[in-house]
Amino acid sequence: MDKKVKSIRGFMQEVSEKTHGLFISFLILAVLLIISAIFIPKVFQLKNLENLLRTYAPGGIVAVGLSLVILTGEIDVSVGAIMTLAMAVAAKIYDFSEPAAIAAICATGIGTGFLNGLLITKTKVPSLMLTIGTTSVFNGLAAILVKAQKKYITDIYEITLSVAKGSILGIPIPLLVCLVLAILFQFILRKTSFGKHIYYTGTNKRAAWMSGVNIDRVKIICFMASGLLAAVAALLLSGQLGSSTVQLGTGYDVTAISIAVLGGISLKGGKGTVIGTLLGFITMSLMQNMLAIAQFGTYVSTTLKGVMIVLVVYLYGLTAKRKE
Amino acid sequence: MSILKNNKYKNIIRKQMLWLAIMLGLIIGRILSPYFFAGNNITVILYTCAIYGMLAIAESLVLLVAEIDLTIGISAVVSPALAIYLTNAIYKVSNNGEVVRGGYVTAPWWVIVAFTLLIATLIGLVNAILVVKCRVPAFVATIGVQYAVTGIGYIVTKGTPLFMTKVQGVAFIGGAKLAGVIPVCFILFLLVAIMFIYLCSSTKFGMRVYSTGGNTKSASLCGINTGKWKMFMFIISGLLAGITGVVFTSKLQSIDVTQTTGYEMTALAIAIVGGIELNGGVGNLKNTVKASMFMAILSNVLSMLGFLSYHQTFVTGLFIVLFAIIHKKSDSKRLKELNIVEV
Amino acid sequence: MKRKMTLLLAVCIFVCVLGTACGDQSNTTDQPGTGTGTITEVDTDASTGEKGDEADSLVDQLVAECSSLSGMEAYKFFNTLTERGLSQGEIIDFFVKLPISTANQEVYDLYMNDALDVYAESAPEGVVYNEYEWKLGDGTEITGPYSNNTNLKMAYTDYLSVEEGPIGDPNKTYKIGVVAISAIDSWMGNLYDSIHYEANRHENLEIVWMDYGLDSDGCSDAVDMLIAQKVDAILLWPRTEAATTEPAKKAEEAGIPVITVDRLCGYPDVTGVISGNFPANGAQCAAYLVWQLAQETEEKAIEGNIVLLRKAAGVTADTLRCGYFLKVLSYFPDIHILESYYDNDDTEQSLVNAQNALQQYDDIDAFFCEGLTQTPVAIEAVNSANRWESREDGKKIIMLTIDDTKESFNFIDQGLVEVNCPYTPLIGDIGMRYLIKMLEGEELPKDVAIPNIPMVTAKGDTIFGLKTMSSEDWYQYASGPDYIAE
Repeated sequence: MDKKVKSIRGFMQEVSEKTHGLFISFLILAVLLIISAIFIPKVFQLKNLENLLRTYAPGGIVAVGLSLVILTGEIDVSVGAIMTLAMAVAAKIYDFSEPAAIAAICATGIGTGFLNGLLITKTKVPSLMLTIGTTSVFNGLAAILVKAQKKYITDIYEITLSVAKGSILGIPIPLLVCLVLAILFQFILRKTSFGKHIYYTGTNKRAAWMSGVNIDRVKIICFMASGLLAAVAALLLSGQLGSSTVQLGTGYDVTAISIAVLGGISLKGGKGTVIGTLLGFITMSLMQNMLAIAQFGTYVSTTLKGVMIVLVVYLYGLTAKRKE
Repeated sequence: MSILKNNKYKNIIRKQMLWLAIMLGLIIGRILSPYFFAGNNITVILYTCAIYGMLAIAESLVLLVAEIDLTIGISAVVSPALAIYLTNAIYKVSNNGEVVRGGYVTAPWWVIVAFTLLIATLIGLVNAILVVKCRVPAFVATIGVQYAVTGIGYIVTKGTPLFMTKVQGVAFIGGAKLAGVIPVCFILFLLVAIMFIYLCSSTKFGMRVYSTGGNTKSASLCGINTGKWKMFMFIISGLLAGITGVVFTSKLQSIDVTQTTGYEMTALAIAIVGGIELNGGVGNLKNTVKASMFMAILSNVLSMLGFLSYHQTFVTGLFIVLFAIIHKKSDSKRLKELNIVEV
Repeated sequence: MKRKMTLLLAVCIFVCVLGTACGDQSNTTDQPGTGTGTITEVDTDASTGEKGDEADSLVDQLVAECSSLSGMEAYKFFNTLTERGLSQGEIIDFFVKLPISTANQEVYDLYMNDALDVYAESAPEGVVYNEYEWKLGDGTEITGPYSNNTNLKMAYTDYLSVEEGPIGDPNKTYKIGVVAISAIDSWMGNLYDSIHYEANRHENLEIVWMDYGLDSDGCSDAVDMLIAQKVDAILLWPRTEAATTEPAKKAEEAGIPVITVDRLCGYPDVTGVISGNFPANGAQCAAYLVWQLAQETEEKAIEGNIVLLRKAAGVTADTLRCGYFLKVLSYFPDIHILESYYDNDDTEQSLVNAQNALQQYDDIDAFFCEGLTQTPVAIEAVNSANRWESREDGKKIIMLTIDDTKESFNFIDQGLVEVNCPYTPLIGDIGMRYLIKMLEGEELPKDVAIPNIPMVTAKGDTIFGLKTMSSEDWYQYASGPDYIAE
């Protein structure tokens, strides 16, 4: 019996190694789909899927951006604060001109990402420490800018609303944005040399540096990408909710990291794919939706969400090849 | 000659940075407000220092072994509530309902304290098993446990707060003050801090902890049971979170699960300001104590200035970034002297 | 390993010993613990001793008569209210004072399971000071000193009115400490506005502002700091009842009078309580629902399925509004509560809740949105699901909201929302004026109520004799920034 377990385990490890962890992501997604097909068929109603993927899409976008950062071996817990800050900066500008506001949102995202990256690469402070600090800085700054007031996204802001609430060919635009960005980043990761540099940096920083990869530049660009995507997610989210408050980004850092981890990205860096994150996003949204439709109540869902995150990561751990 | 002197002063500043910061804070506080050294105000500073300091020590211990624990905040807030309901269940079984929903608690205080510590330690144990035995990365494991405990807390209490004013002796730990100024919980904090500082610096306990954190692989090759030490740190951190929960309950004389918890982030921030490295093995608990005192003074001075809560968040964030960079600079200097190029 | 275990054990024992070390340090107030499984009642205020008024006891009589009715009988009884000679405020009082009925077991169970009866019992029955009656048009227009929102109008500036200029002894500076939750949305920001407005009117009044940022522990520290600064009085805005008991007690024991505004504090002996009209919000929504359902069936039956979109668990705003809503509904056995959702003060969760409700249930008749975060997302959810006419015979889903933002009034004008019970944040000034009067030596009752305001309906209908306001009437008083819609 022991031998059988070992051989199954070995098989799983082989397969997951070959497919870069995607196999496990698919497996988990498949299990969830089967469970909901049997017990909670209401999940598959078209309107439900549309709602769920649209509402959770901003979380997915943030996770896709964050995956790049995690792949380089760093981490960024300030993504939630970047979301809040982006909308706060744009709050006054909306009344002048909407395109300018949207440009400001993107600029804030890129700017804050650049700041994070710069500080981390120049001072060599560990990213977790630094981004915990910058989270407070960005949150505080955002609240100061708007005096903690709520900004309404009213009907006259047409671009924002049409992008956040609209659909193309029946697919919600936020979801499309998430898919397009994920595929784009996956392409960059696999096919361009920049992508290869990201993997090298994540796997072994020193070796990459010694072989001539400009790891500082790689990291800064990844942070900027993560910041930009967080800002875009903020735009889509506030468009859907119809307002933007100073608590817009609360909890998104944890959600994004959970999604990335669910998708097979290792927090040590160098392992995982953006497609995996996409699968993780679908899994997480499905999980939350199943719990909600099964009528467990908000708080039971919270508990089960925590348990499921731990369970899934445990399974990933089981299938990772042990190096020791 | 003058260059040497400069270096000496710079070294002193760098080594005693936190003390200087505390002094500066006190002076600025006195300048800004004549009430700064009033009894009640000092009490506030000591309370803040004690509560956040205890959580910071818990977090520091876990950081020293190269792990992280994000459950201490929610554990401090929820474990008293769970303890009460556990007591209630036990008493119901033996035919004597003690606690009624949304109402007043009438269970004996020592039972509540004992169960709180037990439950908090259990949460620490769950963390330990997940991280060490199941090999789940600490970040993810503690986030998962945090969600789970939050949910359980709400389910059990339905969000209703409990009043503790009728429990005999509840006010002592959180409320009583020596000489009317120094809270008892501050003394408790100092005792706990002294105990752990002693353990970490001068005993085998300390050596094991630092070795496990500094380089886990070589430590285990040397025969140290790193898994056991990591589990131990999680359990201790859970216990300290439980003690903090007891102090909260006593201070506010109520148990409220809806209390916001950013406490683990604050504890992490204090550990960072105190120079504990997130990769483990580096850092001194003495500095953690100084850092928590500094943060307490900082928040008090900011409140005196009339800063609103989000202004305080901003300024605190700036200080965290500043201190992280300063600590890293001194570490970089050390590495430079060893001719190690940092990447 | 043994040594460490004993060390840990030592720490545990030490803490336990400290905890029980002093039986004589107990600070138990009033009644001693009973130790058995009974609910120890919170000391409700004593200001209900005003039974002298004819009309007051008339309301109580009517409530007693109605409490045994159910279904259509109860509805017919409600209809007779127009002929009983009650004033508008008294009609609202009637609905507020109705006790919970067991006619609808489902609603009764939900009420009890969520411990709403405990909160309802401890809600103060405030008295309106000096028999003040609020009329439409009263109040002052301002630009918010904190939020810079223009077009704000404070409804209650004539209530407990105080002249502008120095108060009390003109040569003395009075210090009032304000302990406020935070200003994380425009409602809260407007409450800050009202406090600043009143303070700015008096030159010798200095405010020491403490903002505790949603942290109960911070509230306790803020009060300590104010005691250190020797303020003359404290205006407390509590976030939760239980956690603010101890701070209020500390301040009172240090000789500083404390009054609370808006939400309630758990300490029974505060100097003054300005209580918001949460109960009236919930009760009026329920009254409207009953009336509307009856109109739709031409007074033959009152039946419907309702979804509750609530705030976070355990918050006064949720427990009182929902509790009083359910109390009135409990008289009608054919009303079903499909589900009650909590959103933990997270707007996104609210949206998800509303979407899930629409997904789950095909036969929703009404949504009860408890606050200003729930309303816009519920409307958005119904919009995107295209379910406005999804009831039987294509009737429109009924939206019952408690919201006081200018945005929500646009929704009423667009016909999306049926009823909106305003809960204005511009009440901080009442608290300030209470303190000013107290500092000038006036005797004031402890529980001062904010006058009940009738709800706002799209057409200003009359519900059981209660003349509701139209959105034009109340829009001037609505809070938040101007909402510009197409």
